[in-house]
Amino acid sequence: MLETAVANLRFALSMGLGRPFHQPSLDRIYRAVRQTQEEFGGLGVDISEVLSGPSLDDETREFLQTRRFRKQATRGLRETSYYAEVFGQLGVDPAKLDFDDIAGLPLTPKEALRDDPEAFVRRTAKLGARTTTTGTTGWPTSVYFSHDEMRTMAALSSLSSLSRGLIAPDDLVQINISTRATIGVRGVAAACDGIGAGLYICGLVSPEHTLKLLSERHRHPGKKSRVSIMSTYPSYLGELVEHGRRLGYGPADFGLERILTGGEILTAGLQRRAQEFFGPIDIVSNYGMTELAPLAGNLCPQDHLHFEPSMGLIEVVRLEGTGLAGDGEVGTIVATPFPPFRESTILLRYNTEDVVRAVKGPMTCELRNTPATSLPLGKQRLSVRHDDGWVFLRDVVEALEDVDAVPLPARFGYWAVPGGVAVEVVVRSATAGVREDVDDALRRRDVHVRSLRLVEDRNELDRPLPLRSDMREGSLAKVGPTSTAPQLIGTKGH
Amino acid sequence: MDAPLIVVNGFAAACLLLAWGFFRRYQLNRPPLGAFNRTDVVVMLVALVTMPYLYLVLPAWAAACFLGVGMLSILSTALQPVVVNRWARWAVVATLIGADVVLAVARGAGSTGFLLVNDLMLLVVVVGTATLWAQGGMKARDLALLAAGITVYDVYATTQVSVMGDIAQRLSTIPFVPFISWGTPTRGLGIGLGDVLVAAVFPLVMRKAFGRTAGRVALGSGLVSVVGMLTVLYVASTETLIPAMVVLGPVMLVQIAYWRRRRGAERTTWEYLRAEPLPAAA
Repeated sequence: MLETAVANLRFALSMGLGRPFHQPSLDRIYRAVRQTQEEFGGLGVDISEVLSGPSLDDETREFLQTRRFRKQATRGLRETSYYAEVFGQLGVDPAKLDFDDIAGLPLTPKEALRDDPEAFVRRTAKLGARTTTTGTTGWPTSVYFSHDEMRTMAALSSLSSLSRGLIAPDDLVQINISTRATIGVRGVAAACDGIGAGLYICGLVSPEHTLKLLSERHRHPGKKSRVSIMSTYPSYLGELVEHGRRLGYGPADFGLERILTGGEILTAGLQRRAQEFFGPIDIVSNYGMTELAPLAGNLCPQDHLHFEPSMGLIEVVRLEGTGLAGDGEVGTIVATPFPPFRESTILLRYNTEDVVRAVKGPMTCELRNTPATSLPLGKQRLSVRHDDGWVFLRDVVEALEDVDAVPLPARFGYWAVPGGVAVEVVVRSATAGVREDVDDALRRRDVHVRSLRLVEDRNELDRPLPLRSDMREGSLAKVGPTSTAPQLIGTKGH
Repeated sequence: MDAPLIVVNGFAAACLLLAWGFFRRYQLNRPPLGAFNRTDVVVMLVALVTMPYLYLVLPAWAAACFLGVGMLSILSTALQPVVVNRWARWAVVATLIGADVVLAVARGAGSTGFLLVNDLMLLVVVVGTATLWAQGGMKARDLALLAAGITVYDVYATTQVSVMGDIAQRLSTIPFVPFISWGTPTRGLGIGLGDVLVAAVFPLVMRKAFGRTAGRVALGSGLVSVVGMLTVLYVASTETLIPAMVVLGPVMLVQIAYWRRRRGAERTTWEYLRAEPLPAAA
């Protein structure tokens, strides 16, 4: 208890002063998580304060974030070729920036990082791991991390999962995301290791294979008898629901209690249909991206996306015009990950191109003291401006996945046409009734549909949007009744 | 029976019995991360060896401040679930601390008024600390290590060197005297805070680790040991310091060994609460 208190103190000092984490202290906290979990079956109620520090008022937050931004920008100027050039051209001393000055600095575009990721790496960084994005929008973007950063992320992931009650020691966790998604896979794996939950990294194998694994019964002492938690993409979840129905699976065949999703928009329609198929499960959605890790957004019950201010600065920059978006205005998330969470790859005002609405007004949710945006609305390049407003990816996909005649995941395309958008979508049966249902759903979401095309074969789509579920991984396994149980690692029971 | 025998035995017994009830009745706030472990025991043993010398080196006022801060911290933690209103709680704590200081200064640390307040405060401190340790996840195996270490040190410090006698003499003149005591210098009786604390935490840890029966046996044997020892000491009219852990230590170690052998692995707090839910939770 005493050594954990000392480790907590060092952790808090790093958080407060922005100095690199003391790795033995992080390891101690990591061990304390397991010890506490084993002894008490859970963590104390104040764990969120240990993890993120006390909530800050606006003035203190701005002071803290300005100091962190200056530090990161100064390191960028001195130790990276990209920001040396940027600040050289601007003639600005980053050490003298005020909070209001930050919004005047140029954005870092995605292309700059994708084209030359090493231009963003500090010269003094001790590199350990190269991670890449999934590349759904083109060539994958690389981000470099040190081993210490990877360990920090593992410890934080473990603490976060525990503090939010997402994973328990008796859970069996199955990861169904791309095994190349290093940050995502290691994050969940580290949480399972810290908590003592059983883990199986399955990858994006065929839905039939995954359904078979989910329905298997196990006999591991101290663990639930079937996979209780799955981590996956919304589109792959849709594949499971669709294939599962076709294969005759039902709620009684599974023991799933919670699904952790990320990387794509989780729609209300998908949630409803997944809960009809798997039973009354909890579906959790998070916002995170490799470029910003470990800075990520936490969704509150009021659909705000909250970002911990000590981990990074989140700005919402107007989609049209310049400057920061006002309350309710749409804009893109522009993020600056801070030290000590980000030490190797420096990104200042990185334009994620993820569109959200700014939330400036007073909030009433449980996370009201941390800055927030709305739910992500989709990528900027998929946002269509028409005479009466915008159509975002979320509007379209929410509408389509709410229609049961549209197979999951919704496979569709849409693009701007005069006065609105043209939409094409795969349906089970292209009847007049289905057309009416789809059209109604789109109009309920204020999508100005000027042309609607229904097809029954996904190959007939002209401009299909890429889905993460299509990053299928090969397997030699034959999915049949004799399939053997997966090997679970990291099991630890009470 | 003489007053010192009744009062000191009464307070010592009350410490054990109230801790037993408090442990089940109230939940003290524990840190969100970490459980009481072997490192804590080692730190406590190191502190146990070094603190007496620190008390001897420090000026009297500094030693009193040191003890006072510790008492303040424990009192506020222990009273948290009992006096829920923060201001009322701090009023109680301030009254106890203030009365102890004022009575020590105004009437002397041997006065009846001071001894009554000080014993009362130590009662709360023992009950709170014992509960905090047990609810903090203290394991029987760690308590065994602590008991063994204290026993060895207690015997050495009491019989081989004069440090315990010096400490008793020095601290008995300042506020926050860490002894439950009563009577006059010529006919008095006292027991150290540490001894009562170990005796009080023992039944709680045994109950958590091995069940209600183990806890009750530990409580009974602890009461008999403490009360018996104090009675013999008083009746014998000796002014000699007796290392209480010489009796308590073996009593504890034998029981821990017995229950470990009989029950095998001890229960975690989680398993204990699942098997014996607290009255409020049930």
